[in-house]
Amino acid sequence: MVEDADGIRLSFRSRLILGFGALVVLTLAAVGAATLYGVPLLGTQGLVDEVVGNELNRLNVAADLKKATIETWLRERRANLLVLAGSASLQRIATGIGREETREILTETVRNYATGYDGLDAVMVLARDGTVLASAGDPVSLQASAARTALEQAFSPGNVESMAMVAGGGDEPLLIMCRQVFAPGIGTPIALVAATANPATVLTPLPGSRKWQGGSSEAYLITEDRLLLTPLRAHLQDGSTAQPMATRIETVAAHLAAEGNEGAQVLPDYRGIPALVAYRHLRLSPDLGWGMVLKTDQAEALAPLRQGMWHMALAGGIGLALFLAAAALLATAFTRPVRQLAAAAQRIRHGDFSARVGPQTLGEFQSLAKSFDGMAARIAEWHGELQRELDARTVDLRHERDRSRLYLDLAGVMLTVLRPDGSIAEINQEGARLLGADASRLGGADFFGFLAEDRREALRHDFEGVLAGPQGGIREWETQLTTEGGEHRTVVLHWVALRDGDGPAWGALASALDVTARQETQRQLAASEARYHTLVEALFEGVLLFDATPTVIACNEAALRIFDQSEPELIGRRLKDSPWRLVSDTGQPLTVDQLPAMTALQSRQPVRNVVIGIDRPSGRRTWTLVNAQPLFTPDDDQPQGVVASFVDITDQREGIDAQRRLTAELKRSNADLEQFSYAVSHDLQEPLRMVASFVQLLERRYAPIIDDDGREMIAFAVDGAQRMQKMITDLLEYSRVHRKGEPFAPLPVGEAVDAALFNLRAAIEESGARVSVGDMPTVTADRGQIIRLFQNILGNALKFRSPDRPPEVTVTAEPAEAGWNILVADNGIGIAPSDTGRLFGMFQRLHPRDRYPGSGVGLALCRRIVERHHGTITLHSPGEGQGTTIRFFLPDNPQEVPP
Amino acid sequence: MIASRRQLLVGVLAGLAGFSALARAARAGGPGAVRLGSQPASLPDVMFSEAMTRDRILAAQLAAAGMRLDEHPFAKGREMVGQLAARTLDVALFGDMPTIMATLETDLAVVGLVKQTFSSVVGHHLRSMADLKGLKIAFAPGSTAHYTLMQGLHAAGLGADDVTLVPMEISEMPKALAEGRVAAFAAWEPAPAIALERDAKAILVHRGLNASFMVMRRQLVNDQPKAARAIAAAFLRAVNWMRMSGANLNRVAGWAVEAGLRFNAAADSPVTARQIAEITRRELLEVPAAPSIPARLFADGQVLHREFEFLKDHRIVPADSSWDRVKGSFAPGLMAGIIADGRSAGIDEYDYG
Repeated sequence: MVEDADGIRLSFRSRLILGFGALVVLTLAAVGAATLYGVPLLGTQGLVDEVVGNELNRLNVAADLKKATIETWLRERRANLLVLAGSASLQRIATGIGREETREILTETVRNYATGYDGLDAVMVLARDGTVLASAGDPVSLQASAARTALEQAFSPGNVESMAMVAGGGDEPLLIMCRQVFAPGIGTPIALVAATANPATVLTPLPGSRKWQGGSSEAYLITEDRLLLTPLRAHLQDGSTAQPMATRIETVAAHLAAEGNEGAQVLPDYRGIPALVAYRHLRLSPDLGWGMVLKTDQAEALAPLRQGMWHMALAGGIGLALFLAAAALLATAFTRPVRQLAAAAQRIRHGDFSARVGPQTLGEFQSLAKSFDGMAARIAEWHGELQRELDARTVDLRHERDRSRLYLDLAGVMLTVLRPDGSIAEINQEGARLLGADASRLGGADFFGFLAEDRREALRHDFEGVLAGPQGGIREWETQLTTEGGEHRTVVLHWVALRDGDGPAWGALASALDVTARQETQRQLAASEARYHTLVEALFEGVLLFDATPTVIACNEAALRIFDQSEPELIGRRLKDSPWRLVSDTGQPLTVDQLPAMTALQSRQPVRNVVIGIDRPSGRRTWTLVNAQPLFTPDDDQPQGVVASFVDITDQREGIDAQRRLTAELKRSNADLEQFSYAVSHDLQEPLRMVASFVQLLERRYAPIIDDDGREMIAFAVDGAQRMQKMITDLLEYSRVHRKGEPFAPLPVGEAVDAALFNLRAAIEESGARVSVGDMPTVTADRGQIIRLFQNILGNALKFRSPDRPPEVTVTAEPAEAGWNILVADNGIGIAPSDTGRLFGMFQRLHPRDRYPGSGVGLALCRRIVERHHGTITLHSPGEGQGTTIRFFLPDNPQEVPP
Repeated sequence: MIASRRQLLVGVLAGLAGFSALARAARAGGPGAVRLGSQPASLPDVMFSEAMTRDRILAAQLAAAGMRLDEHPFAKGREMVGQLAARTLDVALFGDMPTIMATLETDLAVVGLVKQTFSSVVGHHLRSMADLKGLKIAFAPGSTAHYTLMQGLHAAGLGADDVTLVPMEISEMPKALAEGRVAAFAAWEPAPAIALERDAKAILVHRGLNASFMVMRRQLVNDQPKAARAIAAAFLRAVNWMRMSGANLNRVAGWAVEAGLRFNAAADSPVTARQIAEITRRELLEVPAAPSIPARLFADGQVLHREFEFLKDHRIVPADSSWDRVKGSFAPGLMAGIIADGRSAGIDEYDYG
């Protein structure tokens, strides 16, 4: 035995001994098997077959001999019966003519017959009426009923010779042989000669014809119904004892023999034991046959062979032991130098490079030992060199490993080496950070334990598939992992099998990229996109997105509705392939280059509020208000596309057109009216002045002759003319607000207030009014008209003062969107709220003229001036006696509207 | 090559002889002829046909009835089955298998037992039937020997698929075995005796009991009862005459040799007169009570019934064949009546010439 790092192994010497031993054993076994069973391929016969064949032949010979002996015995007995039946004395006695002495002769003849032949139990001569004429031996057996029946049948006509098997008086098997006796000239039998024999008696002498081996050989007879006729030497398979004429033998050999077959085979005998069997059929008569079986146990037949084999095995074993001993001695002697070499090699293997074999006596081994020692010395040198090289390489590898580790740790993704069972073998810093644990604690941890539970098994299955699959396969998964702190992270996971060459995978390299933030960004982006999409889709305004060609690449529902198109029809349509006739605001046809989208692309500038009409095939024109915005990428000044939005303004456009038409009509009407007012007021002044002048002249000239009534009527006429003149003047002024207004110019409102107060100074002094003016802005306005505006409003405050108190007027300004609100508040008589609505109408008055003179045009003129400046004017009063506040709005930059 | 030519010639001659027999049978098919089918190559059947054709008492009895006996030789009993059906034969002597097939095809009466003997399986270097596995075996399909062969194979645990069965004429089998063309053959006498006599390597490994019968067309028995009785009596007479002395037996054996030569002139004499006499003595004359047919022989479950089932299993007879029809064809009473009244039938008077 040799023990080394690989365990205990057989030494060369042991193998040599065992090898030779096994060779000898196998050779002996093969020779033994071939000797016993032969070699089928070569057609050679083994000893077993030969012995069995010889035994079967011997059995066949014995069986044939037995059969011939029995047949001969039966033939002889039948011949004797024939002679006996043909004897003259018997015929005389049977016919009743014999004398007593003749009967004695017959009896003597029968006795001689019975005693002269072995195997016969009884012989008798029966008369036709059953009388025994002569007998010998033991006729008791013939007294059995079965025997009597057989004898009666033997008398039947034509049955000259017959045989029958019956059970005798003691139930023993009984063979009855009969021969009818005829008398000369008589056709029917006059008597019967019968002889009986026990089949066992018939069979008994026969074994002597052969030398039997051991105690298992035997022969037995059976009927055609396989009823046993002769005793058996052993019990049946069920342990019972076979009884002649009672036991039926059911072996294959018994069947074959009873059914008329003859042969020899190896078959189970009646004990169920393999036996060499010869079977024969004996035909005693057409309706009577026997089966005969001879057998020897196979074990007994092969016993000598088996004994010889044991002897051979014993001799072989002794020879083998001697051979092994000699082989051991020789192997020990021859392998000693080898073992010394092995010992030296073992020491060298364990690091003792000083080991040497030393000198040897045998020539070949001496040379081998020298070579080995030289080789050992050389190995020692190499070992030193290799050790130094190894140390250097170890340092390099350590540095290489540190650098690799650094690279791994610098990687922005998790990198981990997994063992086939999914445990972590190595992991970089990013991996440890991603798993929320220290890298030193993750070694050996189950990597799949960090993965989302619902996908863990699927991932593990895929991982195992990668390990078992072909080389080079990389799988990618996006999944969640849970850090040790319970935080959920989304990662993109890759793994690839690690193999040495084409060998099986010893692990896998897995990488995981944390995409949690990216996924959140994508989610927000998707939500934003959804919002924008919803927004765009919700817009009443149609939106088309063109690329740079420009071709429609996106649109919203409003666009489809406005163009009355489906999305497939609209998407992909080039602008130049527009199926509609497009016209400008003025109805002029537009070319592609004039369209806002193309203009925006070419000019790289937005295009705003372009009105475009779309003439549909139906003849209907849809007006749209179009805006176009070129789209740029941050690093390119060339537009990548353009987005065009448009609103269906057909209804508005039609409204504007109608409004324009109405405005123009109104302008024309106002102009006509102003012209008429101006003409009336201007042209009426002269006749009115003439009436007033002549009425005053009439008064002065004819004052003496005019009585008081006449003067009073003249005064009325003059007053009426003057009031009409005033009304005409005011009306003329009202009509001139638009017609004769000055161009707008920047105007400090405070200056206008001061100018108005100056014009009203007399009234102010007269009423004792106190007027306070706040900070006033500068607006763009018609200076004269604004002064007139303040003059009318302040004048009303003075005129409609409360009789109980001096008037107090406050002028203030409030900034408003795109302009100023100016407020003029007084403490005058006030106005009922229900009356404020009609005060800005022409010639509207709330009080009798005799109490507050005036034409009723003042506030109407104020409103007209404010409206010319695109402002508004209102009047507020808490109620009568509570003062009034007039508020008007002046825009910063009113657009001059041409008259 | 010579052997092959000889076999071919023998086959042709045998075929011509059979054809000639048919032609003669057809020509002799008049109302005055009783046509007896014989097998010159089958022992001891040929002994009867030869004795009966030389039986002057029979000739006289038939002549008294206005009839005569015509013999028609056949190579195999099976060839006679069709002739009985075609009414070109009236009486035949053949084995149990042709008897079963004939009774299924034609209304026949099986009147006498010719023999109860063995068919044998003979081969080279055999210890038992089990050694035949994988070897070629010559056999006559549908014959009694065929049945014996299958019985023997079955007893050895083999079936037809375990061996190669080679159909062959009985007369050719001993030679085929000696030349090694087959490893064994199954046949009735005299083929086994010839092989064992001439071939030192031949060994008999299995034997099976068979029977041969005398059959008559039922029409002959019914319409010509005297002629039928005379023929049955002639059969009994021949048995008795041969039993009387060895000289008689040897004389008939000599006629049998002559018949064999007549039938197959090109072949060597396969068996001697002495062998024929010995076979006849062993298989017929020493058997008590022959030629009466024992009831046990055609009883249900007995040997003929088993052979009938064998023929059905091997499709040699139709699967719907009736055993009752076969069984009903056995008529042992005719022979029993003649035996009982042998004097009037003249079975103890002899005149052969």
